[in-house]
Amino acid sequence: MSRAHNDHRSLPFLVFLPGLFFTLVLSALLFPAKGMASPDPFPASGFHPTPVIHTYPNGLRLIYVEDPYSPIVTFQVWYKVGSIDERRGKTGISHFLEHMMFTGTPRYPHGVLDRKINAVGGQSNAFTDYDFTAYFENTAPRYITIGEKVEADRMNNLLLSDKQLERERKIVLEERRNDYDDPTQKLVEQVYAKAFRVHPYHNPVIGWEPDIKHLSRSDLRHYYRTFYMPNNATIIVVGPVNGPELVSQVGQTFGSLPAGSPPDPGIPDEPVQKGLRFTVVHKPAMLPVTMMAFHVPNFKSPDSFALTVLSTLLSGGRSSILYRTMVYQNAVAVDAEGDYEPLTKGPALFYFYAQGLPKVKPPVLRRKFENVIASLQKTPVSSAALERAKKQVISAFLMSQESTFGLGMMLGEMASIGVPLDYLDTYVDHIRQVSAEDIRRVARTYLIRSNETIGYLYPTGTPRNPSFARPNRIVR
Amino acid sequence: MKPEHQTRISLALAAALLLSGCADTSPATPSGPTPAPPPSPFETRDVPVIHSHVYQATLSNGLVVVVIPRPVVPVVSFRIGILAGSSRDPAGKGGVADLTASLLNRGTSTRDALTLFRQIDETGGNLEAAAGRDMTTVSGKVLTSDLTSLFGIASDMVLHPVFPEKEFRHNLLQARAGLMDEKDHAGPVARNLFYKTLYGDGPYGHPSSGTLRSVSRITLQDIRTFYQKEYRPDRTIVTFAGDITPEKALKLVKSVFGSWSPAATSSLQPSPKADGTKPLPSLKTILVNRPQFAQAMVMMGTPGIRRNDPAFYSALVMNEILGGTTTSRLNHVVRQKNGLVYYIYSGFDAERHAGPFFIVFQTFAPNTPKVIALSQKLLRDMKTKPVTDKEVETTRNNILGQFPFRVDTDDRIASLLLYIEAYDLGLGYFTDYPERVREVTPRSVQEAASNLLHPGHLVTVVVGPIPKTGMRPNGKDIVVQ
Repeated sequence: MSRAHNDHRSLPFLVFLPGLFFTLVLSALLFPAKGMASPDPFPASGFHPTPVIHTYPNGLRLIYVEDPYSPIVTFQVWYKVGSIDERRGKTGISHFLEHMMFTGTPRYPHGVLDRKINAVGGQSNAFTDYDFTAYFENTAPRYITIGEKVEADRMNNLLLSDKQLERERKIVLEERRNDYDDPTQKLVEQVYAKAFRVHPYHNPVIGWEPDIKHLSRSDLRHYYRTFYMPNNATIIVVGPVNGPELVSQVGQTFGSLPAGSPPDPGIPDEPVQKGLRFTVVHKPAMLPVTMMAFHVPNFKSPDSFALTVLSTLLSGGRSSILYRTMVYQNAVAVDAEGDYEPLTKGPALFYFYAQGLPKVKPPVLRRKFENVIASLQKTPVSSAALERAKKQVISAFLMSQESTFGLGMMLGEMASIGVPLDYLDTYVDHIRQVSAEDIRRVARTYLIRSNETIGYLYPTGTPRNPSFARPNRIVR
Repeated sequence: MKPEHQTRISLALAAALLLSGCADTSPATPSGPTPAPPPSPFETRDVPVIHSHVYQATLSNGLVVVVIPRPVVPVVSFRIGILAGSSRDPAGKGGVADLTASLLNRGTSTRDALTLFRQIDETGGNLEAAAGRDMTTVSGKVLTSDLTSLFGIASDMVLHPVFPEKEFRHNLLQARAGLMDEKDHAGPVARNLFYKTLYGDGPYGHPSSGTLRSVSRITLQDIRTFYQKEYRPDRTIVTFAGDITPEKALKLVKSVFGSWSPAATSSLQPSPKADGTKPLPSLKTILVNRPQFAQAMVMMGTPGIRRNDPAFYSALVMNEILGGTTTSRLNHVVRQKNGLVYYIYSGFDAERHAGPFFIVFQTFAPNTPKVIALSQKLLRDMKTKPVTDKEVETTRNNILGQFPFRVDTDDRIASLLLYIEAYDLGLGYFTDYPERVREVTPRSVQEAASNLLHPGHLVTVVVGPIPKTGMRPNGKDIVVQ
């Protein structure tokens, strides 16, 4: 259920990991000293991943981490534009433009980037999300300039030819049809559309099909000029780089790009929900699904830490509440989760999701969830369970720094959404401070019916035989 | 969320990646001197790409330990790999290895399932067990401070599982639900039928998960027998990557696995006989109707090679040219020029046994015959027309440049070490691989294409809304399943 639309231009081996949202250590202070032999978390190498920020006169930001031990370098450009910025009738334009960004400039015509990256065995791709659009080139360290040059060029010189546009439209529509064919995807889309009536999170990132069909060249050009500019972008570099050299090199490549007028956000607020909402999908599928979404605050609220721990209590590992009560004992589901993504620019959702065993009705799954919620609201969780969940959150936070690309993704996402870096400095402490009473309080505050959207997927059974089949023939 | 079918779809992808290997030997210079390799009991080789070394030792019971230290952050990944994958499932009982693996964390002689769950989560790390085709793997990742606890639990799962009846029934039910859900997804449907058609009763003929039919035949006794026969120290490899020294790793492994001896009645069956010199299949297209889909998923191919085949490296280069990259011929013609697909690629699924050579794509149903025809043409051209020096050189560089990505996280390194050991690729892999790739010539690529591609024998599986594809059974080589 990743919200990102990853454009699988290279072999599809890059998986966007939503779980990586809380991923960075700025200093040894963050490391849980308890139980460690050495106070230095990186005793063997003395290496501490430390992000450094540099801002250029044209408004472009560079955030880099020197990691001398990484076998690769990741070069990423993050634009503050996503489906959150789209207007009615023009949904999907952020993602469509992301596709167009690969169709060439006068200097690097269509296909040249792929060829250049391929020649050195690198990876190049892009993804569009609600809040951002990002492009990256991962290569062996000495090839970092390939990404630098191409990204600087296409920030300002995109051709956007009609012929390329029509070809990409076909590809995007294929991508959209992939979504239609997935019953779960369809349900998630409908729940979002119900939960958000006014806010642009109402729309799927890829856009509605009629809009994709009608986006014009001038729509795309206007959108490109509005959002693609140095003062709306952040460059992220992680790898065995020399910081000062990198700063000057990026300055030479990107420094001459003109700043534009910053885009007007103008994003409508979502009014407070005043009652239960409901949506149903009937589709050929084998298993039923229930999803329940609640409006909750994002990272800006102190409650986001309690909500993070709550989601781990619910479905972090097999000792979690939902796994134990719905999947393991008295099994009704093959999978049951409580998920929360605090790093969003707009309002966040806390959602429950379960894929039931065959023949279990979606309302049965819902009742199970409601029992769990009622219990969380009534009785404080045990201190053992709370400590376990906090340990899991903090461990995941530390473990995910280990990937060069993952670290870059995290920094880029934070920069694009507007999360201050000191969020990371205090993250572990904030998680440690969450109490059982905090958990009970957020469950009582947010997991309430007037704030809820329910989605059911009712499988309509096996597909009917096609017309050309002989009677009684079993068609797989 | 929807985990099962995701992993299964990506099996084919993983196989393609296996081929898209390795090698760059001269990245940026590390700061500080490289530590000298320690003396015995380890065999050791350089791993220049991450400024480290690989260390290997064998316990007296035959268990092999392989370690690459990479002390960047205080995290360790480990793998316990047992050569007890689904390729060793008893005949007609596909899924036994997978179910056995799924029961490892459902109770040991000293911990019941809930205790295992709780203690694993208390370490803050992850621990999963799953069966692939060649191996059952227990995978862990954890902060260095909690390694001893998590590894201790992992070893308990491997050494002392009790396979409770209740847990067996429960996991069987879950497995069946997962298999039912697969029917909604074109990927696993196409893949399973494709492999079954090509490999039948061979080791790779059935999916690791089994099928609804084969799983329903499995009894608890099958699981216990499989465990007794197949889980043995001399068929087990333990690997570590991350913040750990080889000495510490060896000590840890010895402390828990040192006294493991194989069951007395160890009449280990030979692997089911694979491939060999079976005649090529005849040209065949199988249509599977899924009227609810807008798209058709297509897998087409022929029998391929093993990872250890001497032609592997030339086949690797050949495949990259044909369909292994975004600039490959298939991608260029079908996606870039004609915009007919969202993705298309080809690969050799080459592991312990030979898997297929395949081309896979998804397309809007009415385009299906067109994409199939284009793919066939490109395949024939590859087989019959010579490749240029330039193409081969570009491809070699591409493959060499990809190498760092195989070792850019601890998890990848730990898994790669398992493959190197299980497929007998040798500890010198990290320097041998680039050498072998550099030795590939246009001539060897041409030979590989000529020997390994068989466009006249393609097995093609189409899953989607068949009436919309315009394809019809013809009573000969096009059939409906």
